[in-house]
Amino acid sequence: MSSAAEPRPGSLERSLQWTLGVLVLVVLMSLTGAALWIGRQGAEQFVASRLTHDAEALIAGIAPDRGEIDRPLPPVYRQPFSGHYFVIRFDDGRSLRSRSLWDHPLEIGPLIPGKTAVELRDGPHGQRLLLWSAGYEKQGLAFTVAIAEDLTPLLRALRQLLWVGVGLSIFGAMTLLFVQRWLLRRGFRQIDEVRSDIRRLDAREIDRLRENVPEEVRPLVRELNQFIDAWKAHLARSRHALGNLAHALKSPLNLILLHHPRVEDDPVAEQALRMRELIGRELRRARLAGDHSPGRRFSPREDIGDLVAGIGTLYAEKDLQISTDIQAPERLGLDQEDMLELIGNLLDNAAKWARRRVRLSLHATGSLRILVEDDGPGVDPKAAKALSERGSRLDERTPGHGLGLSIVEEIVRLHDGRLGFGSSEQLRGLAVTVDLPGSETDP
Amino acid sequence: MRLLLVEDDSALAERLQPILETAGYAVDRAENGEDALYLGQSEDYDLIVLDLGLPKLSGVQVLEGWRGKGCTMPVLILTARDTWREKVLGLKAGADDYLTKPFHPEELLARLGALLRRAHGRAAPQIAVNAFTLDEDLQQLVRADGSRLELTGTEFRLLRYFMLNPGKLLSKTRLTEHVYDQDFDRDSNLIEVYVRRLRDKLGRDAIETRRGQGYVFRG
Repeated sequence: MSSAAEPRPGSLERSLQWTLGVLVLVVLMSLTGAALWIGRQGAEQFVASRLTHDAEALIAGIAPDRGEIDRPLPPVYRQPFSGHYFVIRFDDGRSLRSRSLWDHPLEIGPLIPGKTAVELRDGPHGQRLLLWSAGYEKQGLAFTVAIAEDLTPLLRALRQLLWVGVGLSIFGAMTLLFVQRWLLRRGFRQIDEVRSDIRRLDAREIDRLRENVPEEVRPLVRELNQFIDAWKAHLARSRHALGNLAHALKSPLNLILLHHPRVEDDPVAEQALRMRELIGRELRRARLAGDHSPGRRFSPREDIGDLVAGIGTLYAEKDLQISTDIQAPERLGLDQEDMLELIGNLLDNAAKWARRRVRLSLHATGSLRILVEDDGPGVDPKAAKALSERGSRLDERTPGHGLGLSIVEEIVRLHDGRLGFGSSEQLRGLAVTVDLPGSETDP
Repeated sequence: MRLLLVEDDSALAERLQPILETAGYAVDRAENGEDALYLGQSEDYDLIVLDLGLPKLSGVQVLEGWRGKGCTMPVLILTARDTWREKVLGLKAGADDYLTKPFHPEELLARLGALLRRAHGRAAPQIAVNAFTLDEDLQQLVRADGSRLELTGTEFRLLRYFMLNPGKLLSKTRLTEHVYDQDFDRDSNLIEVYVRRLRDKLGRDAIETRRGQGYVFRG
């Protein structure tokens, strides 16, 4: 009961069930009680009025002077313990008893003529008697008539009615609770949709919660949406400010570099170069953390073709041979910008170190595997293992050069993928492997 | 070497111009896309340094305009935009190299030098014709015996153009255009003066005169 009084925050459903359950039970029980009480009152009144009629017939047949009844009585008054009894007590001490009483003493007190009384009494053989008595005076002789009827069958019927009532109450309460639970669950299922929306929002699949939810939850969803909008605006503003700042810093930084053309032994130029790298990295990070929902999809063949052509142009004097092996559908469910950045940096790094040859293979069978190899100096196995284990030290590989790979690492992490380093078996240089988990094909 | 610098940030361009000039380039400047498109088509540049974020026409549009008209001069994109998508867009439009801001001047000069050599079919890091080699960093001429000769700025620019186009007939106008910037008086006979000076340093036969037509570098 106490849990109904103070709803636990833990479960709305449980507290509602308790409240409703108790309420329904109390109401149905009260109704049953009221029905029983009314039924019993009615039955008693009905029996009492019949007794009155019987009494009148009895009195009409009494001959007080003889102390006898000179009319034939209904047979129920002769049959022993039939449940119908009478006693007549004359003021002079005589009395008349129905034969049906047999040896059961049914004592009654004298009543003044004109007075009546109704009472319940224990009768023979466990019977419950409704006793109606009245005082009379006939032919100058005062007497009291008491007439009784066994209520047991009636009470039994009422008790049955009580059990049926209790049963129906419990059944009704259970049904109501069940229906309520079903309704609640159905309502909460719609809240589940809000939850799954929030999950999709977190995964950046959607950018707002849907508002076609039950009326009761809609204000909450609206508030959430407003909060999300405000948060997005805030994020966009900060990112915008960061981008502006970083871009704005590029020009003065460029001028510093132009005024300090010698990097050796010039801390200003050195620091300016360092700042350039920091700005570049932060800008890329900000972009990676940005809005991914409407991004264009990655088309492996086309995009890698463009990248290979671009790298070929950038490293034109090396006369590189870049071969590709692409086994993938036309489009993959991956953000084009991310993948261009990922593969572009891998290829750029390979091209930087390669002597002549770079190989790229991309296989999209369920999950995505990208392998980029070069015929450059590579890294020794121990260093490769260390790189694979703690990619965060990639920046230290070669100053001013590791940046590309640290961005690769960030993109891989963003997509819950894995980045591995090893030696290329065929080209003898560095082999970088990227594994990205299942990326469904775009319909 | 005539170079067109397309850059809308005038502070950067102001500072960059003398650096490029010191390195031996005759520099013209354009500050918006329309001017750049016009200059690139109408003038014979050896190199173009192109910013992408330009007023009026974007750098990519300008570049596509040039390439569409059949202009083949090497173009280096110099921009603050550093994503691979943008690089790919620029290179697809016909750029030959891509450098992101902020850059170091030495980086730019090295890239420009490489572009120039590539455009003249030389993959070697140095310009060499027969017995002569040009040291672009020190602006000196290195002879077969290893001895070095100092060159003045104009001599260096003129000799570099000769050495990048050996055996070709080069008119005085063409030489003037590639050695001096746009505002220079093309009718002056300064080229003759510098050709004479180069002959003094390289030997009489190094540069052949074709009367009424121009010069041919023999080395």
